[in-house]
Order: sequence, then structure tokens, then C-alpha cells
Amino acid sequence: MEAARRLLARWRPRVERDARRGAEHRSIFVYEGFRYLKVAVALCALSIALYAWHDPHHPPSGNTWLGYTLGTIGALLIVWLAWLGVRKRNFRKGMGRLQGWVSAHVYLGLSLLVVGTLHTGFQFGFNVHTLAYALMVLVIVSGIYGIVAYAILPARITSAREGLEFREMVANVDRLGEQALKLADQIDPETHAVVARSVANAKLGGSMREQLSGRYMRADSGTLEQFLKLKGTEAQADAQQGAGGRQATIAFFADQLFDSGREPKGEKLQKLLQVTSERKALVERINRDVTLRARLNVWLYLHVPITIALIASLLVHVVSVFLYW
Amino acid sequence: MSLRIEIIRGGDTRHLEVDQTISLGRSDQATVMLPGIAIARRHAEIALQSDLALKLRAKSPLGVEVNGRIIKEECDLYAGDRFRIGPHRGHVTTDGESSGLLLRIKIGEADAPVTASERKLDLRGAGMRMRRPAAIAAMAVLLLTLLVPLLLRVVPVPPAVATVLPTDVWWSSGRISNAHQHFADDCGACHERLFTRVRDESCLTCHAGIAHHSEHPVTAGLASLDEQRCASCHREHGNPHAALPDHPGICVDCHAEPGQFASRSDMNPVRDFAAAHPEFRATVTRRDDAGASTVRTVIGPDTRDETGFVFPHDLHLVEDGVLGPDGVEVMACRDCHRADAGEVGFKAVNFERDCQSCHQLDVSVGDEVLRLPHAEPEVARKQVAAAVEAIPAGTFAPDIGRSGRRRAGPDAERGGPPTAAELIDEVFSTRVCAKCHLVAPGADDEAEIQAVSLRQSWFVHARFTHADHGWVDCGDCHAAESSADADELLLPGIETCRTCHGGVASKQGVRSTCIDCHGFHVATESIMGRVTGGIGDATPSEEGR
Repeated sequence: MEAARRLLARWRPRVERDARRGAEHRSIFVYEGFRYLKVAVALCALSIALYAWHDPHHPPSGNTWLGYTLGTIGALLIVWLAWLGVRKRNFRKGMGRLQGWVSAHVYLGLSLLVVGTLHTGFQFGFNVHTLAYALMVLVIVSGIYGIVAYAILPARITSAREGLEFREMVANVDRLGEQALKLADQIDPETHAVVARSVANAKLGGSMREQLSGRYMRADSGTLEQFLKLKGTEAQADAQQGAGGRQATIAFFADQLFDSGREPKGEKLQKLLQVTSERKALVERINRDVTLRARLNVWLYLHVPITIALIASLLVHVVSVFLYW
Repeated sequence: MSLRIEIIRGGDTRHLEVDQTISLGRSDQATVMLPGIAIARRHAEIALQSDLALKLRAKSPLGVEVNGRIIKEECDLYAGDRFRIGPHRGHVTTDGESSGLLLRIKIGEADAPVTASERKLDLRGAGMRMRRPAAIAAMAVLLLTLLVPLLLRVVPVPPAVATVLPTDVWWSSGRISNAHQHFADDCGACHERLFTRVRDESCLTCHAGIAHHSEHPVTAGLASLDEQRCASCHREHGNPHAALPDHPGICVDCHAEPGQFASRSDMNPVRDFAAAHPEFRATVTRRDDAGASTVRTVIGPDTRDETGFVFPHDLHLVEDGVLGPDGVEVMACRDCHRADAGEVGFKAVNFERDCQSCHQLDVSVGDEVLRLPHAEPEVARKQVAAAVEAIPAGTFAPDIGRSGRRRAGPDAERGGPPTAAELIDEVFSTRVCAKCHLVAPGADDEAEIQAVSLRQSWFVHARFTHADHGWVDCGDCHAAESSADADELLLPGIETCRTCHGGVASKQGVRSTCIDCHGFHVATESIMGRVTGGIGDATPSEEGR
């Protein structure tokens, strides 16, 4: 009863936290009654309306009053959104409400696609200006991936963990490895060596490609299972032989004598097989978790560095325009 | 011969001196006990082989890692060799005291995780980073797209080097127009100074002879126009024809309200060809007692261009044809109006080529027929006078005595012999010249042929080419078939053009811009800027609006 109460006490905050996290994620979209969605839609609508109404004397480009206006808005948005990214990381310092910042980041970031595209006047080429645009699009596309990933994957990760912490799962792998080694040690040195090698070579997670694809190369490629099964059949054969033949009988008695007070070899093998397959299943679950988390976070490794490159490119874009005004 | 062994366990060091084979393993029977469930009970043995070498035998299939390689059987160990069993490390070295071999074994932590395995549990663990790629990408962008091109502008490098380095061509915001492609890679040709917009001087380096918009920028109120740059209208980095401005706004900004320029307030406002463009004005000839003058007037149904020429288009263009030297001939416009070289307009109508086959300048003098040349009037006069003089005496004497009565036919009496003056007057005023020419009494009361002014173009400030309109019937624009008078101006008004041509935003017809018909750089005396080859005052007086 006491144990159950303790378990519940551990369990409840986790459930509450998960629920809170889900609500938090939804709330970045609906924050303050879609405040930033409205701002973003208004900005897009205004930009499109002005673009449609505007009839420049020269082909549409960034080099009209509307072009300069949209460009200025776009550049300020880029810098501001990037700064929001920094601010978001420091949210513990209590700078405003995190949800508000994320909501603004998402909606205004998406609106940048419209503002930035209209700023170009659909003039693209092999130049620094289109480079800045392309980087901006890459950042936004990676961000869109992020939105989708954060909408789908956290729930999957939570459900796959079945209430376990990731660190617990990893610790369990170690514990099961140790357990397997102890069992193997009781069987014979050969089994111990095979299990020890398998445990030592076991791989958790993997390279970037493995993490993202979810297809992990196995270090021992199943030799342990094969070995243990082989061992199992041998033990079985021994036991069957024990039914007839003098020699077998002697061997049987010797075994009984030697193993007196212990479990028979076959049972130990059975137990070892159980432990190792449990361990293997756990490794697969961890790898699945690693994959889900990699897919959840991979966009950031593009989003953040390309944002920095984009700011550099934006600077070059603006400076070069005025260098050759 | 014995082997010294030094066992280091935490801060504790223990020495052994053995002369037989030692065993390493988890078993408590082992000479050197190595804790850890991943270690075999009998993991390895080490025997003294000589003064200089040890023999290591792996007793477990797990093997021993010697100098980074897994040994599964056995190997020799010499001074300097290192081996590893799980977390435990061995090092063979020489003993300072006995100068024999010393085996130093460092016992690792027994509770080290049994899975000393590879763990890349997130992308960061798999080696993915943010800061470094960000810094590299940003530096690469700054360097390749800004600093290097900027440097190359200042520091000249061999062309071979420049082709592989990023240059300021990367700053180009768009395609250079066809006309400027030949120096498209030389940004400095136009962008001479940094942070300065392209100056007109850069354009005028090549376009030296370009004319201004008006001869009199100041009186025309064009001072503000002078503040415009070439690039205000001619915007590069657009499309293949970017340098040619075609947006009506460029003109209409001023011409929609010419009233804002005091001295040009009499101009008609223009906004769009289809919606707001004044009726065309033609430059025509007016004749009165004072002579001929040039007038620019609004085209209407009764507009006349007094050419001094007599020509009924309708009689020549009758459907059934006219009687020519070779019988009935159906005439077409092109029989007389032959396209000029560029097919913009037409070659001047020429008497010998276009008229003479039907209209000979024949005069009967006595029994002879005198064929006059289409030359200066004086020549015709002299030829007629000479022909009259050459009539033999008595040609016109009536032969009454012989027959006693009047005869018909060739012998009919033709009246008295004409005088030269009478015949010349007849030729000029009624019979030959006056068929086509306007004749008026001259200074000596002599009939005088008035100068003919057949214009090549009636539009001073616009251009029109027939070449693009070849598919249109002549009669669709010019009502020649019903015109009895050569002075009728057979030019179409704007409504005729508007049946096909629309404004710039038109969805109804051919989108037509200002510069399709009008020039901008028209200040200098040119075919577009002034009336050339006209008669009377070269500058036409304006009439009507």
C-alpha cells in the first residue's frame, strides 16, 4: 500500500507535467486569442493589397518605395525574430511570457515568406540578394518542419516511454547487462565471454544518419542470440541423452553432484536468454526514443546556423545595394 | 630470474615479485585479481620469457587489448607495451633498481558501467553542432559575398584570378539589358563611386549626343525635369529591354497636369492613350492671299491640307477601273503610293512613274502633237512658243477658192493660227497643267503654277510606321475612295487608332505606351523635333486644341 502510494506520488506530477506541456504547445497557436496570427494575417493582407495596387514605373523590384518599405519590414522582422530565438532560450530569466514569444515567432516568421517574396518583386538571379532570400526560405521551411514536429512528436515520445524517464531506461540497459553477465558467469566461461563481448560492444543510439533514419547498425549482429540458442539445444540434447546410456547417466549424476543446490544449466540459459532479449528490446526502445527526439530537434541544427548565415547575408544584401546604389 | 609486479589500486600500491606464470582474472584464485563482472574468471596469463620479454596468453575468448589491438591467443610483451582488460590497464617497463622488467598494473574501478559502449543518444552526441556551423556559414557569406568583391574592386588582379574569385557581379540585382551586355561584368563602368547613385556623366560617356526633352528647359518649366537622372527613366538590372522605359507614368507624371508648369499650361493633358489622350493634331498647309503657311490643327472631318494639287482619289479608285493606255485598269493605292525603304511611309509621288502612263502632257500645235516634259514651267513655255513659231505659214489658211465650200474632216477650217501667248495660256490655265496643278495669275498676269506641298508626315510630335500595319486595308484608315479633293486630309483620327490600340492597362486592344509613338529626347532639330522640308514658316502656328 505504501509502495503504491509512493508510486502514485511519483507518477502524478509526470502526468500533470505532460498535460501541461501539451496545453503549452497548443497555446502557442491560440495565444491571447490568436493575437499574433491576426497580426501576421493583417501584415500579409496589407502587403499583398499594396503590391496589387502599386503600379511602379519600372518592373516590380525592391527598388521602389513599396520595395524599400517591404524590405525594411522584412529585415526588421528577421532581426527581431532571431532575437526572439535568443530570448526564448533565456526565458528563465523572466523576460516576458515564453508562449507569447513563441507564438509571435511562429506567425510572424511565416508572414515573412509573403513580405520577403513581395519585396523581391519576383526578381531572382544568381546574386547575393537571391542568396539572402533563399536562406530566409530555408530558415522558414525548417521552422515549419519544427512546428509540425513539435505538434506530433512529443506526444509519441511520451506514449512510447510508458512513464519511464529516458535516463531510467538507459540505466536499465546497464542493469540488465550486468544481470546477464552474472548469469553467464554461472554457466561457463565461454558463455560469459560471449555475453561480455556482446555487452561491451552494444551500441545505444548512433550516428546522425542512424538516429534520423531509425535504422541502427547492430554491433553484435545477433551472435549472442545464436550462441545462446545453440547452447540451449546442446543442453537439451544432454538432458535427453540422460534418459538412456550408461555414460550419459554418469554425466547426469556428475552434473547433479556438481550443480547440487543450484538451478540446472538449461534453466539458467533460459533465464539468460530472457534477460538478454529484454535488454535487446529495451535497446530498441531507447533507439526509437533517440530517433523520435532526433527528428524532433534536427531542424534546429539547420534553423539556427542558417539564421546566423541569413543575418550575415542580409547585411551583405543591404550594404551591397547601397554600395552600388 | 623473477618478475617485479606493481599493482596500483586507487592510492594504494603493492609490489609482488614472482618467478612463475601469473594469472589475471576475476577469480579470487588469480595472482592479480581484476574486479568487474565483465572480466573472465581467468582472463589472461603472463609468464616471464626472458630478461627482455614477457609472454601474454589470453585465456578468455574476450581477449586482451594490447597496444590497441585485441589479442585472442598469445603475444610477447616488451618494455613499453601496454595492455587493457576492461577498465584495468597494464604497462610493461624496466625496473630502475634491478634493471629487469617491471609490470605495472593499474586496477580500474570495478563498478564502472559494464556497458562501456558507444552512446550517441542525441544529435549533439552524434556530433551535430550549431555554433560552429553558424559561425563558419556567416563568415563565409561575409567574406565571399562582401569583403572579397570589395577588395577586388580596389586591388587589381589578373583576369585569370578574377574569374575564380567572387566579384562584385554577385551584387547585380538583375539581368543587364541587351544593349549594355558587352560591359555587364564591369560594374564600375556605371557605378563609379561607392554609395553614390549612378551619375548621368557615366551614361553620357557613351550617349554623348543625346538630346534633351525640350529646347527650352527653363521656359518650358522643365527645371524640375533637369533634376531627374538618366536612371530615373532608364532603369537597368531588369529585363532584356530594361533600359527602355515603357510605363506611361514616366510621362504622365508631368503630362497629366501640364498646368503645373506655367509656361506649358496650354498643353493638353494626357493620361492614357485609350482613356485620356487629345485628338491628333496634323501639321497642314494653309493658303491665302499672303501665300502658304503651316498650321498645326486638330484632325476633324473637314480638315484640309491645301496641297496645291488637283487629284480626285475617287475617280481613280472606281471599282470598275479606269481607261488606261492598255484598256481598263483597276487602280490600287500602291500603284502610286509606293512604300519607302523602311516601309515607314511612302516615296514621293512621281509624275513620270505614277501619272504619265495615262496622263501625257500632249498639246496639238498645228498638225503636230507636242509632248511637253514635266519640267519647270519656263521650259514648257519655251517649247510651246517654239512649236507655234515652227508652224509653216498658211497652214491655217482656208482653202475656199478650190472647193468653194466648207469641208469637214481633216480639211475643216480650224480658225486662225494661234499666237504663242494664247496657246501657252491655254496649256497652263485650262488644258494641260491645270488638270493637276493649282494655277493663279502671276506677276505679269501670266498663269503661274502654285507650289505643291505633298507632305511625307503630318505628325510632328509622333511617329507612325506603315510597316507594322501592312495587314490593315488602306481604306480602313484613309477614306480615299470617296474623296474628290486632294486637299481633304485623309488621315484617321484617334478613334480610328483606338479601334485596335488600347492603353497600357488595356485588356481590349493592343497595349500602347507613350513611347510607341512619341519620342522623349526630341529637343534638337530632327525629323521628330521640327517640321522639315515644309513650306512657309518652319514653325507651325497652333490652331485649336
